Amino acid sequence: MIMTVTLTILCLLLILCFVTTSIIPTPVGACASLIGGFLLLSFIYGFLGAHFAAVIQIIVYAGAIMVVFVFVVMLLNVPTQDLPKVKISLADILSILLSIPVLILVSIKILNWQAPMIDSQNVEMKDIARKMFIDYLWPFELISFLLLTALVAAITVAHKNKGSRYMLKEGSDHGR
Amino acid sequence: MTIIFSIIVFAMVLIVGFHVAPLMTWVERRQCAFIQRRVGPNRVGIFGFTLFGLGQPIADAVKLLFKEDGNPSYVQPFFYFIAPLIPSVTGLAALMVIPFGAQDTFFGTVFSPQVLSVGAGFLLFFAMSSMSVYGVTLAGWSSNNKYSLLGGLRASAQMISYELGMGLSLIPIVLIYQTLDLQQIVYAQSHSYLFGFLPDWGIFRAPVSFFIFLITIFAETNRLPFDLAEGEAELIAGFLVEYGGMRWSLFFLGEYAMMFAFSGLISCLFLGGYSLPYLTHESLIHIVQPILGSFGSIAVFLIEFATLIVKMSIIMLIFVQVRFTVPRFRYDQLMKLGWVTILPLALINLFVTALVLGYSSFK
Repeated sequence: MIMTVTLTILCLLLILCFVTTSIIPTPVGACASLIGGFLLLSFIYGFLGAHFAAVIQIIVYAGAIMVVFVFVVMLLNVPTQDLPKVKISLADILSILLSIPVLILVSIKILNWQAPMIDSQNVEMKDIARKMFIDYLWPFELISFLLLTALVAAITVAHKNKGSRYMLKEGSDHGR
Repeated sequence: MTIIFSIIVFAMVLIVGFHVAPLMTWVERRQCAFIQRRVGPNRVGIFGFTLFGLGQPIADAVKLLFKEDGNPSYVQPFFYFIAPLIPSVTGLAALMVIPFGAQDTFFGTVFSPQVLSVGAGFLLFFAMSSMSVYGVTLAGWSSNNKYSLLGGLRASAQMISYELGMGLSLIPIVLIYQTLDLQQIVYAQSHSYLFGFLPDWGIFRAPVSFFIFLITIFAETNRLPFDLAEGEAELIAGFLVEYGGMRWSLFFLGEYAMMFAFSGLISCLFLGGYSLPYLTHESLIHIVQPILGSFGSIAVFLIEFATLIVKMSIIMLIFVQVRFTVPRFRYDQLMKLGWVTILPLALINLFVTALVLGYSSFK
């Protein structure tokens, strides 16, 4: 009972954090609420007994990836008046309307959900490592190749116009 | 009863963590004075008892508490106020992972002097230490000041570069002792090594890891020679420019608590933790129990606690000694050291350790 109530509160806070990330106007605020969301996600993992996943969630996402995000946001440091204004277009309204059935389907699934009880004493890092590097070695390696492909694709997309090596030079002087 | 013991241990660790910062400011000034052949602060005392100037931290704390709380108009309010809290909270939270003694029974109740012992072990420590960078970064950004911003940027880039080397340097230790639990690692180190000649400490099993880890914790805690986020010669005081009074000192509370936590971790992983050399927990009990009877387990706990504190203090003194001996790095030198020297060295060290361990287990 306490477990369910705690998890519900954590999940609501988590949703609040991620919604704030997408609607807050300042980039650093968005980053901060995303970090808050990752922390709450790791609390949820911890409550469910998956301590290793909880710690890895903080180290990898909140501690490493988000530091790079914050670094870039701070390095560009766009003044608030230069940020693009958000306009609600017809496409936005249509996509919101289309997402309502999905929301209903997901919430039906969620309302029938029971918090799984994991015996945290029995899950060790050795078990996780054995699953990952012996039982599911091929899927694991394939996913790493997928990530590599995404990385190469991102670099290719970013370098589309090869002529301009210094892309920030033209008309985007944010340094004050 | 177990809950009461847990609360006592929690309060004890918290009190120790809070008192590190004021004490260390005094130690730092005294040691700096000795290195530079001066006397240092030795006057402040209570009722004429100066005690080498140990009243200085109290006087400093009173001064900081009553200082005017400056509140610049041009800062980003929310992040400006929340930033000093992050290093102190994460620093004190990281201390909770350190075991201050072996698990034992007092008056029929199990007593564990480690506040947090989870399955992920000391990885939780790294989660806390990697979160602490946000204090410096957000302080630098929210101060709305060029020097602060540069300090914050430097801190975040430095943290990312050295975290990799730090994590990789500890994998050999995990491979050697086959566990992530700090209690078990410390227990494994309390035996003797090389025909009883040396204690079985991590520093003798994996010396390269020890030195890489020692270098990276200087960078992780933003201490000289790696304190480029402050760099008073180039950035005035970096992220601290717009802070004053108690908020300014909260950053130092966090820095010293994190330093103390790191010295605890390095003692537990490489220097045998709370165990005395050549003596396991059981043999210590066998020595003490006939003399003190039922209070033996309390005496053993106090001996182990004192042992760990002594080891941590030695590491803290090394921190201070290095600060006043080695000049500050240039930023490109710092990055080159991190990516070109430390990271490949840590990888080679990991590879060689895995090879040796694999060979000896196949044999």
